Amino acid sequence: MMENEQITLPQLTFLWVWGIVATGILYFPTTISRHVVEDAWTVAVPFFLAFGAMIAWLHGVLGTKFSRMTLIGICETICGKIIGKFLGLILVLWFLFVTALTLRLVGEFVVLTIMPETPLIAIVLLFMVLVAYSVRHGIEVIARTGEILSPVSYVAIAVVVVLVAKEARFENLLPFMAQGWGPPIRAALTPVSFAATTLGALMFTPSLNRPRLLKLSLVLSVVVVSTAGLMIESMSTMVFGAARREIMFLHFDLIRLIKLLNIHLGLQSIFMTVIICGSFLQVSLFYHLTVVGLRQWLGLMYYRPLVTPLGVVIIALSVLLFENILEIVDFMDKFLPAASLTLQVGIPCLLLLGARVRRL
Amino acid sequence: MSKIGLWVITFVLLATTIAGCWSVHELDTLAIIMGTGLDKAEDPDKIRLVAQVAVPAELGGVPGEGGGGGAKATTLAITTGYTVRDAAQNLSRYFSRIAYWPDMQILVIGEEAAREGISPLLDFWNRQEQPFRSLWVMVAKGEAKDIFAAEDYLEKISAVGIAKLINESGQASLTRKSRLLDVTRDLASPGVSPVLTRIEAVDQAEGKKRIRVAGSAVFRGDRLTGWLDESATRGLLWITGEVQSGAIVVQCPDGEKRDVSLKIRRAKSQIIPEEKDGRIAIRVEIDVEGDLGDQTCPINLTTPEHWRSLERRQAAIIENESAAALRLAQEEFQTDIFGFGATIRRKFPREWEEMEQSWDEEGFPRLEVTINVTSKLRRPGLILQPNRSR
Repeated sequence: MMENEQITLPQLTFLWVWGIVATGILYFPTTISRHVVEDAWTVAVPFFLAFGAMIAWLHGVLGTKFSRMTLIGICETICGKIIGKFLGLILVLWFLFVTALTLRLVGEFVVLTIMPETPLIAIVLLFMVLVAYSVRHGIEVIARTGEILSPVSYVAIAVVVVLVAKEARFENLLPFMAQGWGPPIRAALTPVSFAATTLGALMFTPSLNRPRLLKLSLVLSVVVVSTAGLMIESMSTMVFGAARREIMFLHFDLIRLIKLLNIHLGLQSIFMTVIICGSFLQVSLFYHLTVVGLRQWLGLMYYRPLVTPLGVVIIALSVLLFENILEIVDFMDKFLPAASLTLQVGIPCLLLLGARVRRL
Repeated sequence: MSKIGLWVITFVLLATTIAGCWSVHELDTLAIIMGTGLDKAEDPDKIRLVAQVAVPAELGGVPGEGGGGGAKATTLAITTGYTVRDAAQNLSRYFSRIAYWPDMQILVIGEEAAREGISPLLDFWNRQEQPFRSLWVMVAKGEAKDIFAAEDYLEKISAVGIAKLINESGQASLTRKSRLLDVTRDLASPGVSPVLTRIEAVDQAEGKKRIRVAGSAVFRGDRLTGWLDESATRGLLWITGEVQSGAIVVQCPDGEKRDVSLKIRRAKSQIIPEEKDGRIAIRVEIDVEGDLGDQTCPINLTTPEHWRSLERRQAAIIENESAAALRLAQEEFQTDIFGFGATIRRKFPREWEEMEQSWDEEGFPRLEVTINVTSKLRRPGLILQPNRSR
C-alpha cells in the first residue's frame, strides 16, 4: 500500500504549510510577543533566512540524495543497524511527541475560546477519532484534503486581513528596530522549531511523483508561511499596539473586532473553521509520520494495525504532558527550540556527514 | 469491520450527540445583559455591579398595544463583590437566569471607582470571550447606577440608546469616543494617557432624568484625575485628529455682535516631534476644511476679504480650543492625553528611555508645543447671501 501511494509536490507544499501554521497562527504571536512588540513582523525575516535558506535546503539535500528511502531507512543505511535503529527510534518518538503537542494546542484553543465548559479530553478524543480515520486511509487522502481546504482557507485569511484594516494604525509599528536584531531572532526560534519538522517530509520521498523537486517544495511552503506571518503579525501589531503583549490569541481577537455597518459579523466562527481544518491536517500529517515511521522501524508489512494503539498513546500524552496552558507556552518558548533544532538539524547534519565519510 | 457493527456504532454516536452540545442554553434560561455599571460599594473593599437586563416579553409590540403594555423593557440587577468577576457571578443569587454578556453595549464606570483606577475593572471584560472589545466604555459623573435610572427618548433599552448616542457623537465632536480596545491600547502604551467618554444623568421637566453624553474624563495612569469640558474636549480632538464634524461659531466680520457658524467638513492633524536647541519639542499641524453653515448678520460674506477673515477666525478658534486643552493637560492635570510621549518614543527611542521615568511629572508639563492651524473654507452652501442683505 505504501508503494502505490503517490503525492504531488503542490500537495506536499500545502501539507507543510499547515504543518507549520495551523496551530502556529494561534501560538506563535503569544511567544513572539514575549520578545518583541513593535517589531513583531520582522520576525518573518530571520524565520525565512534561518529556515528557508538553511534547514529546508538541508532536508531537501538529504531527501534527494536518498530519494528511494524513507528517513528510517536512511538512518539505517548510513549508520548501520544498531546506531541507525537508535536514531530511528528517537525520530519516531519525536514525531509522536509533536503529534501529541499539536493535538493539545488545538484542544486548548477550542476550550479557551468557544467551549469553556467542555472537558479537554472530550474535544481531543473526538478530534482524534476523525484524524485516525483519515490516517488509516493513507497520506494520499490527507494530501488531497489539504489541496481542497488550503485555497479556501487562504482566501478566508486574506478577507479577514482586509476587513480588519480599518482598525490598523501604521504608527504602532514604530519605532523600527529600537532593540536591534537580537529580540526578533530570539523570537523566531519557536516558529523555526516548528518549521524544522520538514524533516518528516523525508518519510514520503518514495511516494513523491517527482522527488527531484523536494527542495523547491519545502522552500515554497516556507515562503507561504513567511508571507502569511508577515502580513498577519504586522496587522495585529497595527491594531493592538502595545496591548498585544497582554493578549493570548491575537488573531482570534483581531477577527472578533470586525464590524460592518455597526454589526458584529461573528467571523470568528469562520476563523475557527479554518483553524480546525488546518489543525486536522497538521495532526493527521504528524500522526501519519509517526505511524509510518514506526512501521518501518519494526519492519512490519502494514501500518494499519499501528493506527489505533498509537492514537491512544497520543491522546494520553497530549492530556498528560502539560498541566496547564501557561506551561505549554513556556515550553514552546524556552525548550522546544533546543530539542527541535538538535534533533531535526543535528541528526540530518550527522547523516550527511556519515554519507560523505562512507562515500554513499 | 462488519456492516452491522458500523451501523451500531453510528446509532450510538448519533444517540449521544444529537441531544445538543455541552454548553447548550435555551433562550428562556438567559438574562440578556445590555449594559453594566461599576461603582464602589459601601464596603470600601467591594465593587457594586449594576446590570441592565432586557425583559424579552416587553420588547415586542408597540407601546400601549398588547405586548409592550406600559411595563418597562429592562430591569436592573445590583450585586456586589470583591472583583468584577465575583460580582458578576453573584448575579445568580438574585437572578434565576444565566447572565449572557455578548449583547452588552456599554460599560459605565462610576466617578469614585474611576478615581481609584480602572485597570482592575477592565480586566474581566478583556479576559472573557464575550462581550467584544468594541464595547463602549465611559465614566459617569456621579454614580454609574444613576445612569441606568434615566430614560432614553427613543430606545426602550437605555443602554442601546447610549451606545447609539456615542456612535453618532462625531456629529458634534464634543466627546471622546472610547471603546474597550482603545482604552486597553492606551493603558498599555507608554507615553499616552487614556481619555474616556463622560456621561451624566441630567434632570429634565416632569422629574424625569435624561442622559447627556458630553465632555470627557481625563486619566493619569489608570486613575481619573479630572474632566474636560466640551470645548476643551474638542481642543483635544483637534490635536489628535479625531474631530469628525461639528460647528464652529465665530463673530461676524462686520464688527457687530452677530454670529456666523461654520460647518466642519474634514479635520486632520499631525503630531511631529522635533529636535530644537538640543531639546525635543512638539509641532502640531492641524488641517481643517469647512463650509459656511449659516449667518445671522445681514452682509454678503462671500467677498474675498470677508471669506479670508472667516478662515482666520476659524483658525483662531481652533487654536484657542487646542491651546486651552493643552494648558489644562500640562498645568492642571499633568498627564499626556495627546500621546506626545508615544510619538517621541516612535521617533527618538533612545532619548525616550531617559525621559520615560518622569514623563508625566516633568517631561510633559515642560514640553514645548507649537500648534499651527491651516484653515480653509470651501463652499457657502446653496445660497450666496442671506436674503435682505445690505
